[in-house]
Formats: sequence, structure tokens, C-alpha cells
Amino acid sequence: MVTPSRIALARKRRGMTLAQLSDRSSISLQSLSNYETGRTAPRSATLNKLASALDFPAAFFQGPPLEELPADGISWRARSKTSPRVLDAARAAGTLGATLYTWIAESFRLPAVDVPSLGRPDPETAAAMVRTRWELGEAPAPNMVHLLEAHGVRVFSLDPDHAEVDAFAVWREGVPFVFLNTLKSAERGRFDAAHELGHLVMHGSEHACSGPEAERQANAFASAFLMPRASVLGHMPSGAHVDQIIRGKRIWKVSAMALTYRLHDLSLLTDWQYRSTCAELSRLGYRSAEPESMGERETSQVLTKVFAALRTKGVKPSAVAAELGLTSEEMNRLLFGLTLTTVAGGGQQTAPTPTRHLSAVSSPPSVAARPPSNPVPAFARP
Amino acid sequence: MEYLHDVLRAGEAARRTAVPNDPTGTGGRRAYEAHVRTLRELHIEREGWARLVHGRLELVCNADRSMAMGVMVGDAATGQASLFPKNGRRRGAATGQVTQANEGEGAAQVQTALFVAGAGPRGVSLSEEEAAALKTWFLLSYRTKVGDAVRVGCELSRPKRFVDGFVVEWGRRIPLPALTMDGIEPLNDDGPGEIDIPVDFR
Repeated sequence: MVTPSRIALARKRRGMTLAQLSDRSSISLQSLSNYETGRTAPRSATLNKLASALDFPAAFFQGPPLEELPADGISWRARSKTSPRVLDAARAAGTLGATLYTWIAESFRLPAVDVPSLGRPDPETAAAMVRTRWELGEAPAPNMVHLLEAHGVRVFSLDPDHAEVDAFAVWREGVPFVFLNTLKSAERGRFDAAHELGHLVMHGSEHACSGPEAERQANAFASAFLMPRASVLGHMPSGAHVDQIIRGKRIWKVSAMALTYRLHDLSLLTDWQYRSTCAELSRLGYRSAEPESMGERETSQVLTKVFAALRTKGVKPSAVAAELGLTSEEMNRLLFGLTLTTVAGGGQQTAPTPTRHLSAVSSPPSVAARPPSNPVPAFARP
Repeated sequence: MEYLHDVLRAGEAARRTAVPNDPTGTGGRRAYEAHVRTLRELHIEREGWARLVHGRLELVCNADRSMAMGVMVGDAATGQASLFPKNGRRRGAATGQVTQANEGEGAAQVQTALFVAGAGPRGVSLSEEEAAALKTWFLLSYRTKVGDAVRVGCELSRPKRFVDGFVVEWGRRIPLPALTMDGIEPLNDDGPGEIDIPVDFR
């Protein structure tokens, strides 16, 4: 039995229009439309053509309906001109990530969700409230991915091919999800994670989570969360020079531009000093990159431990992918840069400084042993 | 005074762009360049002054061409009213000539006319009469560094007597508050610890 919504989801995941899919699969537009609305169902041969055109295993289309991530509740950190189709593709990938997490949560005890919904307070206060609740005091924030995971946030990687989307966050049924672009510098990754935390905290279901004002608030939250006022005032001099900013950024593991913005925000740099500092940092290449970076990106502890534990039971990531009706490559994209990535030859390696080619997987996907209608894996059953 | 501290700060920022692989003295040269440029830019933008290359002195002068300002590296006495500062390095004849003009002793030999064509927008050149009447002030600065902190003693002063490359008497001195720039307070502990998230099979 084919699930119509899964066809639509797979098509969105590939960023295709119905017409493009029709061209690629040699299936008529009308038929495709009928399959997606459920008016008719594809025969086995047609389903295989569809699966091949969409690069999904045929088993994927036969699973139960997937609950999509809510389109309204997503806070996008993306370039303003990013096309809706790219956002749809990222959201569809998010839905697959949520499905993977559901599978993981059935086998593993994961940290309980402890992310407050604050809504009302200004970003500076909201950041201080979360810090207090999480007992961080005024100290520099630890590994942001671990911190989010320890408080129940499910963190995934954004498809590395969607470079124009930096990150997004969404609540689904009381569970917070964050998707991070893992190709950016370690410092920017930390800021993205804190930015998305700001959305989760301040822009839950009842508050607008998109638009320039929400973005400004989330940036202010991230800035205050990563660089608490008292900490910055205690460490950084008034009128700090560029070399001091480049040294100081290591205290909070933030980008030089982010620290410069915070110093201005806290009146430690005058307008004139702020402008000249930004100009000098741009000249040194800090606007588009992070020349003196802290190095390795922060990675997921939960996903790493989950896949390590599965390996001890002889379960390979490809088997998990197959169980969910996904290709190994599809699943690797969700884990890309966050945890072990399977590579050609069946080996595995970590991806501390991910580059796009690492996401390529040459081993063919395993055929799904059974459709994901029964999501409890064999090894976890009593 | 606000301008003058901005000038010194710009010099400090420029000095700090020098790296060990730059030639010796790069930081000081960059600081000098930034001092001259910022002194001019701020006065041109905010006070309607004009750029003036007078002899070999890089100056900025007011609209009626009666007063000019340049920069000079002083010594440890810079900024201290009770002490007598000197220029830190020997200076050339042009400084001697503007010092003479400061005392009304004429400055016929200053070759400003050579620069008429090159004055450009926002630049001026002086007639012989104007050059003779010009009063030239210098922003003296003296930088010391303790650890990561920097202190720049400073004053705005008008030289009166110039002997053998050094100013030996000042006509007027306006000591300014020293510009102090603190260092970073480094993180004393090891930073945030690792978080261990238990992830166990159900």
C-alpha cells in the first residue's frame, strides 16, 4: 500500500516540482498528481520508476503516513531570498530527521525536554533565565550541541547541499528540533545553535517565529546567551582593539564579529570604534570567515553514542536507514558533520571539519528488510 | 580633546595591525600614518579645516589659515605639566621653520608654493605672508605598555625654540589626560567542562 503523503514528501525533499518529477520519471503529470492526492495508487512498476527518480527506496513509500514538521512553526535562519522550494526541501529533510529520532527514542532513553517557553521577556532577560535554569551562571557556554541535547533538544544536520539555509528550529508535539548547517565555522555553528535556542524559548507556538523582528530577537538572545554581560564586562576592556577582540573571542568561542557586536551593544565600543573595528575585521577576512577559528566544530553526543551503542549490537547505520525506508546517503545527510559518517568501503570516520565530498556514500543502500510500520528494531525487543 | 583621543586611538589600532613578519618599525610607522590621517579627517569633516603639506610637515590647518596642527612623538614627560617634554626623535628643518613662524620670526624659506598644484581637494597651500603668520601646534604623544594595557601620555603644544633637531622651549602647552587602554582579563579556569549525556538502551 502506497502512502500518498510520502510521495509528496520525497518530491519536496528533492526540491522537485510535479513537472520536473514527471520529466524525470516518465510518469504523466496527471498520474503523479493523482498519486499524491491518493486518488489512485501507482502499480509496482510505476512505484519503482518513482522511487528511482526520487532516489528513495520503494519501501519508503509504503510506510505509514509521516507527520510533517509544521510549516508555520519553523524559524528559518536563511538568506532572505531563499526560495520556498529550498525551504520545503529542508523541512522535508527535517521530517525525516524527526522520524529517525522517533525510532531512536523507542530504543534509547534520551534526555527529557527542559527548554522553557518564555515568550514575554526581552532577549537579554530570556537568555539570563535559561542560563539560570540550566545552572550556567555567567560562565562561557559549554559545547552548544551537547548543551541543547542534554536539555532534550533533538539536533540534526542540515543537508550540506542547502548552503543558503543556516539553521532552523521547530517544536513538534512538545519536542524541540534544531537543524544546523554543519559546513560553517565552529564559532558560527555555536551562534546558530544559540540563535535557534532563542527561537525555541521566545517564539514557541503562540509567538511569531519568523520575520526581521524575530530574527533580531533570536540574534540578541544568542549574543546574550553566549556572551553574558557580566562576563564580557569582566574580561574585555573598554575600546578593545582588533587584536584584543581576536584573543577575547576565544574566551566565549564566538566569532570576532559577534564579539564586536556584543561589545558595541554593551557600550564597550563607541559607534566610531565599532565601525572602524568592523572595517578592520572585514579587511582581515572575518566578515565572511573565521581566520583564527577554534577549530573543530561541535558535534552531537547523543547521535554519536546511539550509533556507537547500535554497533555494539551489530547494527550498522545502513540497517537503521533501511528500517526507516531511507537510503544510507539520506540518513548520512541528517548526521553529516555531527557524528560518524559511513564512507565508501564500509568504513567509518568522524567529520570534524566537514567538506561536501564526505557526504558521498558509494555503498548501495540495503533493501529494507521490512517496512517501517513496525518501528521497534529487533535487537530492542524484549 | 575628544578628537585628539580618537586620533591616538586610531594610531594604536593601526600600530596593532603590524605582525612579527613586518619590517622592524612597521607598527610605529603605521601609527604615525594613522595619526596624521585621522587628525586631518576629523578636522576636515567636523571643523571645515584643510589638509596642508607645509615644507615637509604633514599638517591640517584651519579655514582662515592662521593655525595648523601636526603630530609628534614626545618622551616620558609628555602630558605632565610639571615636566618638560622633548620630541623623541630628531626632527628636520621644517619643524624649525614653523617654530620660527610661531615666534613671528618669518618663514620666507618654507616652500609651500611648490605644493600649490598638488594641494588637491580639501588641501590648501599658503602664501608667504600666511606662512609667516601661521601658528603650528603639535599633538605630542608618548606610548607605554604594561602587560596588555597601554597608556598614551599626550598634550597639544606649540614649539617656541628649536635647536639641533629638538624643541627646547614651548610657547604654550595644553596637557591632556592620558589615553589608557586596558588589557584583556584572561580566563583563569579551564573554561566550561564537558557535559556527559547518558544515552542508554531502554
